[in-house]
Amino acid sequence: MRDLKPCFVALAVLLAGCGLQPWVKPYEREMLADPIMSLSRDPLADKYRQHVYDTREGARGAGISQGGGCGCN
Amino acid sequence: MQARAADFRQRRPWPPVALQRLLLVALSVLCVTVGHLWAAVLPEDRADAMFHSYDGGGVQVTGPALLVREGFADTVSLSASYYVDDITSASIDVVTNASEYTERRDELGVGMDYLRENTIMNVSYTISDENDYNAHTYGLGVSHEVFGGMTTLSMGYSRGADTVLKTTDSFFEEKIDRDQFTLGVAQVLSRRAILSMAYDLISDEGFLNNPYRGVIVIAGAPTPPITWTDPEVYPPTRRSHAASLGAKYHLSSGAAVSVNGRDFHDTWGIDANDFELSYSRYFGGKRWLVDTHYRYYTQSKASFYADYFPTFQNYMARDKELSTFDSHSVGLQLGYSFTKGGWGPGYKGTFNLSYEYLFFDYEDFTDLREDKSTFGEPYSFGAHVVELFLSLWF
Repeated sequence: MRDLKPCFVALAVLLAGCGLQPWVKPYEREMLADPIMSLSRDPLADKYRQHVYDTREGARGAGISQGGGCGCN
Repeated sequence: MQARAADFRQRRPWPPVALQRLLLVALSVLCVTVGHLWAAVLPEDRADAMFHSYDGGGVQVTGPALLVREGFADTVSLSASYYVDDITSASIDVVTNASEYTERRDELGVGMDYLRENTIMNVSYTISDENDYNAHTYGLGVSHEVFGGMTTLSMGYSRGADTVLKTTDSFFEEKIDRDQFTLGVAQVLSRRAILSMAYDLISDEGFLNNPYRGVIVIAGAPTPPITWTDPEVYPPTRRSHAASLGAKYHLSSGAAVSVNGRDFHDTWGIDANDFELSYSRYFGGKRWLVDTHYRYYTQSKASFYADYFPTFQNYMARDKELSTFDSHSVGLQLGYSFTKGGWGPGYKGTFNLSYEYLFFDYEDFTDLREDKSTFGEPYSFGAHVVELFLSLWF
C-alpha cells in the first residue's frame, strides 16, 4: 500500500487541478501555431538526426523521435 | 554464460515498480480528464524527400529517405516511410579489429493514426534490414488533449524483435527482444510558451554486444604481451531510463528560442546528460527560415568497459560508445518556401539544407591503429552531417 501512496497524492493533485480553466484561449494561440513553435517540424530530418546520435552515444530514449533498427554493426 | 544470464534475469522484477506507478498515474490522468472534450487534430498531410550524408571517424553514410502522410475522412491518417543507409566504414573499431567494409541498411515503416474527439490512437510497424542485422518493431500509442487543448498527454509501447548475424560465420544467429514504454506531456504555458516532458523506459534482453569487436587483456607489466579476445561479452539484459524536459518561447518579429535537457541512466552503469539550445528566425517575409542549434552531450562509462583489462572478467567491452566521453555539436539549417504565403498555414512547399558538425572527445578510449602494443593518446574525431530535403504540405 505504501507503494501506491505517491499515486494517490498525484491523483488528489490532479483532481484539485480539474477546477482550473484554460488560461490561453483558442483565439490567443496564433504564435503557438507558428511552424517554428512545432516540437517536431521536420519529422524525417528529426528522425535522421536522432539516429545519428543514437548510434554514437550510450544514451537512448526521450529524444527527438523514435525509430527502429540498429545500423551500428 | 548460462548461469550469468540467469543471475541477471533474477534481478529483473517485471513489470518494474517505477513503471507500475507511472502507468497508474498516466491512466489516472486520462480517466480524470476524459470528460473534457476538445477536438484534437491529426498530423498534416505531407510528403518529404531527403538525401542525407554523414562523414566522420572513417565512416561515410549516405542515402535517400522518404516520408508520405495522407489523411482520410478527417479521422484517419496513414503514413509510410523509407530510409536507406549506404555505409562505408573504416572506423577506428574496424581498422583496429578487421578491415574496411561496405554495407547497406534499408528501413521501411508504416503507421496509422485514428482520431476520435480529443484522442489520437496510433499503430506502427517498422522493419530494418542489413546483411548482418535485422529488426522488426511494433508500436502502439495514444495521445489525449485536455484543458481546452492546453495539455497533451501521450503514452506508448513498442516491441522490438532483432536478429544479430555475422558475415564471417553463416551459423551465427542471436536474438534480442526490446520493450519500450513512453510517456509524454506537452503543456501550453502562455500565448508564447510551450513546455514538453518525456520519459522512456527501454528494456533489452538477448545478445547485446557487437559480434565482431574484441577486447584487450594485458597479462603482465611493464612491457606486457597483449591478448585479443573475440568477441566482447556483454550482460544479456539492459534496462534504461531517460527523461527530458524542454521549453519553446516565441519571440517577437518571427523568431523562437528553445532549450532541452535530458537525463539518462541504465543498469550498465552509464549516466548521461545532454543539453541543447536552439534558435529559429524568419527572413524575407516568411520566405526564408533559419534554424541554429548547439548541443552538448556527456556520459560516464559502462561498469564493464575498459580500454584494456588486467584480467579476464565475466563481462568485458571495448566499445567507444560505452566509454567516458563528451561531445559538442553545432548546426545550421536554411529553409526556403517556394509557395505563396511562405511558411504560413495551408498548402506550402519548402527546400531545406542542413549542416551539423559534431566533435567527440573520448577520455578512456585510446587510439591503437598504429601500434597495438602501446596505448596512445585518447581518441577524438569530428563528423560532418548534411541533409538536403524537400517538403510538400497538401
